Amino acid sequence: MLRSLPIAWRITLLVLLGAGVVLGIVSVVSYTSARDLLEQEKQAEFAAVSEATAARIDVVGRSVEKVTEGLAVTVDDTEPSPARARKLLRGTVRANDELYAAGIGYEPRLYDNFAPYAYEPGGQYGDASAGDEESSARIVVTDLGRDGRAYEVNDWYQLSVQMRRPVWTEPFYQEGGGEVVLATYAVPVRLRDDPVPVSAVVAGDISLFWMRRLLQDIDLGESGYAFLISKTGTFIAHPDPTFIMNESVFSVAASREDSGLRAIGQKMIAGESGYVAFDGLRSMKRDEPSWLAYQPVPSTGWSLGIVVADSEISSDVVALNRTQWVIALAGIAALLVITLLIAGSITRPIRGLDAATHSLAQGDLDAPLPKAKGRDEIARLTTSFSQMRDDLLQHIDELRESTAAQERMHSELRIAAGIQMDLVPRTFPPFPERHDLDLFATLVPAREVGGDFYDFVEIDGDRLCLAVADVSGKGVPAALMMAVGRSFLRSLVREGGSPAEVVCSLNDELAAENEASMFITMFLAFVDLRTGEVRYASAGHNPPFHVTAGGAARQVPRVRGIALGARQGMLYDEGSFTLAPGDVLFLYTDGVSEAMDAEDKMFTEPRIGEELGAAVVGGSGGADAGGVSCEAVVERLLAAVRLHADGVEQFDDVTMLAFRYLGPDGEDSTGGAATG
Amino acid sequence: MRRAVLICAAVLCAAAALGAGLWAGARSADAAVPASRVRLVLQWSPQAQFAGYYAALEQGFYRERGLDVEIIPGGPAVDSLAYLADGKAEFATAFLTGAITAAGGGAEIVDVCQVVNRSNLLLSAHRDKVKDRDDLDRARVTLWGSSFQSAYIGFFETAGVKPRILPQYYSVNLFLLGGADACAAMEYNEYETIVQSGVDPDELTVFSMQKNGFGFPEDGVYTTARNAWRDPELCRAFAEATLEGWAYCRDHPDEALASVMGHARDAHVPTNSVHQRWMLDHILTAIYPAGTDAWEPGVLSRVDYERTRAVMIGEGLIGSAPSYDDFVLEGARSAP
Repeated sequence: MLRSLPIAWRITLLVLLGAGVVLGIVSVVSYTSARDLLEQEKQAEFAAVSEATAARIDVVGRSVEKVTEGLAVTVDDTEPSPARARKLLRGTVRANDELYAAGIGYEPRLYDNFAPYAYEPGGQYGDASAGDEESSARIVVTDLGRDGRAYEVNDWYQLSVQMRRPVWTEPFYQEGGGEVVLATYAVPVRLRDDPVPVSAVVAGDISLFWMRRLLQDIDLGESGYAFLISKTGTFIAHPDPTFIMNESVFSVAASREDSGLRAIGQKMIAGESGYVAFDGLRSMKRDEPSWLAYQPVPSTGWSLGIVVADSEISSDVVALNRTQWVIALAGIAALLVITLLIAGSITRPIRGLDAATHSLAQGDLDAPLPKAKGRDEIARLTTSFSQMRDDLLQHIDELRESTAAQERMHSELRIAAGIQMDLVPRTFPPFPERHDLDLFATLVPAREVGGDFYDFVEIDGDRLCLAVADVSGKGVPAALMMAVGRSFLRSLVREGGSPAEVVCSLNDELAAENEASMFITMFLAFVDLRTGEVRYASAGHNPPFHVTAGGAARQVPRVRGIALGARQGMLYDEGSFTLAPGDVLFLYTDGVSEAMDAEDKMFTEPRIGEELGAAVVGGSGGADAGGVSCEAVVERLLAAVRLHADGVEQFDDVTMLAFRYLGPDGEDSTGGAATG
Repeated sequence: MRRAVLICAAVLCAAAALGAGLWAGARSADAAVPASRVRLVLQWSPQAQFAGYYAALEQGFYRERGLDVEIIPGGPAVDSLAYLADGKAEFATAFLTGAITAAGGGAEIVDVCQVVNRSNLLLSAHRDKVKDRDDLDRARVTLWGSSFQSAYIGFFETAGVKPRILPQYYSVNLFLLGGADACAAMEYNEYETIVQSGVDPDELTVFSMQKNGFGFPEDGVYTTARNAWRDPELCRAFAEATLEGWAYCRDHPDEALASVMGHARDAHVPTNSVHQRWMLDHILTAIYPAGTDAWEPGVLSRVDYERTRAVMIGEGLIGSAPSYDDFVLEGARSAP
C-alpha cells in the first residue's frame, strides 16, 4: 500500500511514524516515572495522614485506658460503698472529657446485682429515659442492674472476667437504642476478701461519635475518605452511615466476592499497616480503582483506612501528560507540514523527470526535460537523462541517415543489376539458325553487383566473337563501366581487326576517360566456324578451358596483356588454337575460380577443369559424351560452385560461358542435340 | 423426589389456604366478631430466623385466617416463654430444648407448629487449638445457657472429653479474641459471624451436632395449654399461616430478605444483608426437607420429641417432661 503512495508522502509518513514512535516512548517513560514519583509522594502523604490520625485516636484510647485503670485502682483500694461508688463515677466522668461513661459491674452476688454507671448524655445523644437516676448537672448516674437486669452477660463484663485482663470490647449501640456507638475498656478487679477470681469489672466508655467527626474533618481531597474498623472488621466510622455497625470489611468482600478485599481486611485487623490498590470501599459494589493506606490503632485494636481514588492521584499526571500530548501533537502537525514541503521540494525534479520520461516513452523525444539544479543525485540523474535523450536523438538521426543511405544503395544496386542484366544477351540459343555451334552463358550477380559481363556476336557469317569480362569495383560505377566497355567492344569488333587489336583499342578508349581508375579484365576470342580456329587476346583475365570432346580439359595458353583502362598504348599479344568439332571452350570470371566455401577455401581453377571434363563427357563419362549441351555443362558447373559455397554468400558475380564447336557443316556426330 | 415433596407441600398449602379461608369465613359469619387479636413474641432480635413470621404478617396470611397478629421483637432482655406465662403474648417462638426445659419446670405450654426440624448447632473451634474432638478435652469452650446445652453435653459425653465450659451470651467475641478455644454457634448465624470477622473457614474446626447424632429440632411456635384448649382452631390457623409465610420466603427469598432487613433496621439491630442472606438460605434448609430428610414442616415427630426428652432427662437437665400428646397440639403431631 505504502509503495503506491507518492515518494513525498512516503517520506512524510515514515518520518512521522519514526517521530511518533520516539515521542510515544518518551511520553510513556515520562508518564510512568512522573506517576511513580507522584504515587510515592501520595503514599508518603497518606502514610503521614493515617499515622497522625491513628495516633490521635490512639491517644484518646490510651487516656481512656489510663483513667479506667486509675479508677480500677481506686475501687480496689477503697472498696467504696454503693453510694461512694456512684459519686466516684460521676466525678471521674466529669473530670475526663474523652470519657463518655464509667461504670463498675460488681459480681452480681456481691451487692445484689449492683452496677453503678455514670454517663454524660450530651444533648441529642443522651438517654433521658433511664430510670433511677441521680442527675447532677449533665452527668446521669444509674444502675445497670436495676430491676434484676443482667449486666454480667454483656461483653464488657464477660470478656474481662473470662480473660482476666483489661480488654477493649467490640463497639456496641448504647443500651436503649439511639445513635450512640460506644466501646468499652473493661478492667477486672479482685477485691481483697472475695473468693472469686474477679469480683468487679471497672469500665470506661468512649463514644465513637467524635471519631467520625475527626475522620470527616481530615482533608483528603475530593475523592478521599477515611474509615475505621473494629477488631472484627466491622465499620465504626464510614462516610456511609448505614455501614456503621452493620457492615464489615468481610461482608463487603463477600458481597463483592472479592477475596483480595478479604485479605486486606485480615491484614488490617491483624494490626498491620500498608498501602494497597483496591476497588474502593464507598459502597457494597466495587467502585472506582483506589488506593488504601491503613494503619492500626494499637490501644483499641482498631484499624484506620484512608482511601483516595486512583483517578485523583493520576489527575495531576494526566494534566501533565495532556500538556505533553498537546505539544507533541502540535509538533507532529508542524513536522507534517515541514516534511511535506521538504519532501515535495526534493521530489519535484523527480516528478518533472517522471513526467518528461512519460512523454518520452510516448514517443515525444522533444519534450523538455527539467533543468538540473545543484549537484546532487537528482541533478546528476537529470543531466544523465538529458544526455541519454540527446544521444538517443542523435542515434535516431544517424539511423535515419544510414537507413536512407542503405535505401539509396539498394536502389543503386537494383539499377546496377538491372543494367548488368539488360546488357548481357539472355536469349538461348542465340543463333537458332546455325547448327555449327552450341552456346550457353549465365551471370549470377552477387548481392553487390560485381560488374561481370559476357557477350557473343557474329562478326561475319563465318566468325563468332566471344567475350567474358570482369569490371573492377562494384555497384553502379562498375555497371556503367561495363556498359561503356561493352559498347566499345561491340563497335570495335564491328570495325574489324584481330582480337589483340580490338583489345588494344578498347584499352585506349577506356583509359582515355577513366577518371575513376576502374579496370576491366577481359578474354576475347574470335572463332572461325569453318575451321574451328580460335584467335584470342586476354586483358589480365583467367585463361579459359579448352575441353576436348573426350573430356580432356586444359587451360588455353596465357597471352600477355594487362587489365583494360589502366594506361593507354598498352600492347596485347594474341594466341590461337583450334577446336576440333565437339570441343568445348569454357570462359569464366574469377567469381567461379574464387568462389568461397564456409572455410574460405576457393573453388580453384583445377577444380573447374575437373568438373568440366566430367561435364562435357556427360557426368558419368559414358560413350555418348558429345550429347551434353552447353547449358547442361554450365548448369553442372554452377551446381558444383553452389555446392562448394554451401549457402555462403558470394561477393563476386559468377559468370560462365560455354561454347561448343560442332564443325563447319554441323554434321558432326555430336551435333544432334545442339539446341537441347 | 425433591420436586415431589415441593408439589406435595404446595398442594398442602393450597388446601390449607382453602380450608382456612372457609374456616375464617364461617367464623366471621358465625360469630360476627372482629378478627382475633393475638401477639407473637420472638425469641431473639429481628433476623432471617424469623422471616416466615414477617412474611405471614406482611403477605396477609394471618389476616386471611382472621388473625390480627402483632409481632413482638425479642432480644437479650426478652424471655419469650416467660411472655406466654405472664400473658404478654399468645404465641411465642422457642427452641425445643428450651421449651422442654420450661415444660419440665412446670410451664404449661404446647407446641403449635414445629418450624425447624433439623439442628443447626455447631461447635466452632480454632483449628490451631483444636484439630479433632479429642482436643476438646480441657479446652475452653463457651456454651449458651442450659436449655441450649443438651446436644453439646451429649456430644462431649459420647466423645469422652471434658471441656472447661464458660458462659456464652450474645456474642462470640470471647472466642474471636482468643479467650476461648471453641464456642457454640448456629450454622446460620454465629458461624457466619465468625467468618465475617475475618476468620477463614480453613482456620476453623467445626463439629455439627446433627452429624454427631445430637441433632434436635429447634424453633417451634408455642402457646399455653389454656389457649390451646380454649381455641384449638385459632392455634391451627396460626400454624398454617406461619407455614404459608415460610413457603413464601422459600419462593421469594429476595423479598423476604428485604423485609428482614427492614425489621432489623427498625429495631436498630446491627446486621447486614450478606449475613441475613446466609441465615435465610440456611434456615430454609432446616425447615424444608431435602434428600433423605424425613420430617414434615410444621410437625414435631414423636420420635424426635421422645429422643430429645430422653437425652435431657438422661443428662439431668430436667427431672421430667410432659408426654408427647400433652406437649404437641393435635395437627403438629406426627402420625402414630
